Amino acid sequence: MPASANDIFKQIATGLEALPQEKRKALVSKTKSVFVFDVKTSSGQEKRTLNLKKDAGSFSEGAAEKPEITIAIAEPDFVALAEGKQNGQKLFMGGKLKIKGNMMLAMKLDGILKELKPQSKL
Amino acid sequence: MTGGPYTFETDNQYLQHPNPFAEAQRLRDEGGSLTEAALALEAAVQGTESANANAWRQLGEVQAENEKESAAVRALERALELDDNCLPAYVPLAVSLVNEGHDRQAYATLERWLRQRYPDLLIADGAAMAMDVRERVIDSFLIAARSSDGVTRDMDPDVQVGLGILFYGGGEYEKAIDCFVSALESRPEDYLLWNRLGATLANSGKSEEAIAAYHRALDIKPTFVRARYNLGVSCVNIGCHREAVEHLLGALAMHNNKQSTVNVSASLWETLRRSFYMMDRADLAELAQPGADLDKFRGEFDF
Repeated sequence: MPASANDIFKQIATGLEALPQEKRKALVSKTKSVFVFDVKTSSGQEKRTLNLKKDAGSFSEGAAEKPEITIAIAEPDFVALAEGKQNGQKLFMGGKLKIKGNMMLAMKLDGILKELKPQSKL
Repeated sequence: MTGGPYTFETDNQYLQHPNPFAEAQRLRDEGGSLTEAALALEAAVQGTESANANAWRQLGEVQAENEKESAAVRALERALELDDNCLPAYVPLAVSLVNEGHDRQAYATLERWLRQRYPDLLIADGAAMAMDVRERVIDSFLIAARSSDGVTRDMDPDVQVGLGILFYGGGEYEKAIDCFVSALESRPEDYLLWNRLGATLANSGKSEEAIAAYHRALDIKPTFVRARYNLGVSCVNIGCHREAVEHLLGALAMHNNKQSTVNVSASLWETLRRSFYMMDRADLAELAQPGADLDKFRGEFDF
């Protein structure tokens, strides 16, 4: 069964929840930004806010009002990005990932999604 | 560099053992419990082997196999502090540093290893050319690869593994997979390599192939806690949360945790909590903290 955008959202939410407090705070203090994901699915636009601006951070439904960056992407590309099958830069170059706001933050996206996923160890 | 001094378990019966170092060798040779081997090695380096780089190196290897990364880093760093010619300590240290996200230190460690291993090799002074560290070290490894090829007609498998780590660190997973696969051709029974191949496959989104590689590792070394952890991670990633929980609990059970355990596996507990949240079981996630009594989970899960 291929993953859906909702599976990825749940992974991000639980990833944040499962991080120990000190790692969560470290992620916030090195990111200091609000990300909005605007994912185009077959049933419409799904928007989520990943707030890594202060305290322990949060992940919530809907779009925050003034995010530092909004990432617009189609569901299959979003899933591939989160699963590590695609990288953000390639999707951006190919026009499949659109950015509104602070471009530099997009560079951090791969790393943040990776940190919110359980890590395989060499 | 990163870890500071190694912290020892306080409750260790091997401190009374007449020859804990020999006992550790026996436990390792017979594929015994990694936790027991780590305790025996801890007793050894607190006693007669305190200045033996090789004993510290073994402690580091065992802790990494036992999925206790920060303890592994500290022990391996200690080995190299005592003797920077302790060649087998470098690659495991580089691996642990990459796993912990200290990529630049990992590349520097590989570069140090290459200079020790091939002292006559002419390596371009990349620092002067202001190259990216990773690219510079890759270039040096490729030079070593070509030179060893000319002499023995076989490529040094350690060079392959080093290159694999360098490619992995830069997200070049296809190239890393090629390196680990060719290293496995000369060392098919190397369970560490099967696990490294698996982790690389997993990070490139190939969870099913990764699971097959982890099973190869576990067939060779059933007590290999890290491969069981990785198996849990891949199960989470393909949405098999119950299986993930059972692998992770099985790995934690091998740790034989006591309340007083000093070196806990942060990654095992974190991934276990995550799996419980994915199953909408916040009640179990809250119980899943280091030192928890695993019997609390026995009713619902087989491990």
